[in-house]
Amino acid sequence: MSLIRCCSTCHYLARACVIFICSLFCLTTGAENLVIKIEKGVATALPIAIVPFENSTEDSRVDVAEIIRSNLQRSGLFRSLPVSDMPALPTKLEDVYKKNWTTLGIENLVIGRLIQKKPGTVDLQFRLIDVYSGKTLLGYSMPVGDDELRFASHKISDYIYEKLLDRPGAYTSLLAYITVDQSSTEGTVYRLQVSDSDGHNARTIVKSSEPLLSPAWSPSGRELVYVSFEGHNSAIYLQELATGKREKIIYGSGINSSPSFSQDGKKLAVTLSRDGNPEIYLYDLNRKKLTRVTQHGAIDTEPAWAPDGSGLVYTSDRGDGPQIYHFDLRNKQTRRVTYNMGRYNTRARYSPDGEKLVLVNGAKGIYRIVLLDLRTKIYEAVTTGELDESPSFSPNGAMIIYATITKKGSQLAAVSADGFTKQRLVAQSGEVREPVWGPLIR
Amino acid sequence: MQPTPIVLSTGIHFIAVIIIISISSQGPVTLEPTPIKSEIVNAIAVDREALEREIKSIRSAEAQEEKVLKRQLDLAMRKRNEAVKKREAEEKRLQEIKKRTKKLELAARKAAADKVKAEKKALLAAQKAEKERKLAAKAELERKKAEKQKNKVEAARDLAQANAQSAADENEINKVLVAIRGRVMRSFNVLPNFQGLSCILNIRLLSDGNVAGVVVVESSGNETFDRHAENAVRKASPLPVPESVRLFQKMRSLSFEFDPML
Repeated sequence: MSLIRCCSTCHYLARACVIFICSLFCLTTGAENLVIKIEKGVATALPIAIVPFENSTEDSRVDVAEIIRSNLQRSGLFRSLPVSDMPALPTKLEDVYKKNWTTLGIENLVIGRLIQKKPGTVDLQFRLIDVYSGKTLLGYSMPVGDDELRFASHKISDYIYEKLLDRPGAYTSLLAYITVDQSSTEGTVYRLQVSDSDGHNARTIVKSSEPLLSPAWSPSGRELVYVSFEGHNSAIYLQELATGKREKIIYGSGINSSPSFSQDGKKLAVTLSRDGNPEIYLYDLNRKKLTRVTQHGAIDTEPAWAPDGSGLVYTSDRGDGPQIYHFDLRNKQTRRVTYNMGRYNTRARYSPDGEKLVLVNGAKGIYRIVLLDLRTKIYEAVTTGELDESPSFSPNGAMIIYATITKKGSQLAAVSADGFTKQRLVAQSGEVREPVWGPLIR
Repeated sequence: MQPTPIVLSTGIHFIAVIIIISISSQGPVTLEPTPIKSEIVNAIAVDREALEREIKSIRSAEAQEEKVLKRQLDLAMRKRNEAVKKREAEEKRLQEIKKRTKKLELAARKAAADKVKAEKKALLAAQKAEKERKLAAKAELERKKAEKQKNKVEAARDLAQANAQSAADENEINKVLVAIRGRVMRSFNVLPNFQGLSCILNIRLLSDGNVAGVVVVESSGNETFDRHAENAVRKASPLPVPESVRLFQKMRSLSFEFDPML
């Protein structure tokens, strides 16, 4: 699997062979028409050209087309034509010459314009064209505030993604992560940051000289929970993004860590050691009450909810090294999930459809992001890094964001859920840790 | 009817004789000698006058009697005549009926005979026609048989030629179709959510292999899938075409069934 993956050319060659062998057997000749059966295709990235938008405004800080281009490229499902390879740069439908693009195999073309309507507001017009049929698949004209152009670019990316791939995009969703800056003169600075899904437009939510850890999104995307060591003891905080209003919700002796929101937003699963040993607890946000879930002498931590709320997965070292366990909230049964996957499996998170787990698998000092199919029990590595950590699914299940530690430090990276396309996100200052992908904003 | 005097006198005599006999036989007539005494005396004693009186009264009685008889006779005669007349009439009627029946019978017999005759005639005609028809059919059959045989020989010859030609044609067309198929498959971009979808497109080919028209004749119900299928064909255009115009005619219009197995 990974052999094929490491060389995508090999992969497509192999597919092409399959096609040819198959084709010899499946020709059928109908009575009137010759019928050709197409039973295979290729899973190549969709070739698309996003022509630079005509910008008649004075502000050119945001390159809308470039944002869309790299968004689509990053998904691994599109192949964006670089601007330097474009045969023409049309911005209006009547300027599009089909042949220009079909000779390059470009199936879809995005053109657009930014027109200053009044101070502070631009009219953002764009058109998605099916080059071969000449049809306009999408056409929008939207008034956008000057400071909303990035968001609008992500929105257009979502529209295009959904139109061409028939499933929702997640470009308008947000990322949350912790940065650690040791270059500052005031000592180590920890920040909880939120950025666009491409890592741009980062803003600091919390800044602290003490460690910040384990951010997690509420299902609405309006709040974050996280662990802060301010006051030299860990406590779990809940903070509203819009107002900055925050509340210290779980604190007490020992460890207070790894909060995770249930899908209905009513409960948190947390790791607490108030009873002497790190165990999983459920915290009812309305009644402000804790219920203990695990009862084991080993360390139980990093709980994550199943999307349907029926159970939790968590990491425990009760057996053969740290492994993933599942606790069924309905029948209170515990079972081990990771078998025959080596001696190190930690920090599992569910895919949005609940069919897969993404987790960190370690072997011989190499830590990779692994996808485990819960039905077939088949797992595959989607990263090849030496020290990859903290994976998190995009809300549409198409991408996984994680932190990868390189010589330059720890960085944000994204990989398509099939593992084919990896990309570092925009470089942040300092180390980036524990990225978590927020929910879809509709 | 008035009885003739002869008849009358005969009758009277006849009656007289009877009377005499009846008188004389008042006692049993025996040959035995019986002592006759007084009776004989008495008989002898009948005088002439009395006898005439007697005769007279007898005669009047006879006349009376005669009258009655005559009337009875008349009646009988009349009755007899009537009966005779009736019988004659009856006989005549029966004769008449007999005659008529016979006539009818004859007519019927004649009609039946005629009918049989006609039927026989018709049958004969039909048999004749059938025979002729059969003969004609046989002749036709034989003619056809001969023709068929002839055709068979010719067809076998033609077929051998055509087979060789069509096998070559088919081979050539298949080669082209395989090439087209490969091209279209390589340009058909499948998405994971295409599971279970299929659609059928009809296309028109130009002689240079360019695709003139793509029509979705059976949609998958999924707009994206249909578009990917259409674009696969358009992207693969121009498609490979046979060099011969004759062969190209056979594949001017093509159908594509997109049914990817994922």
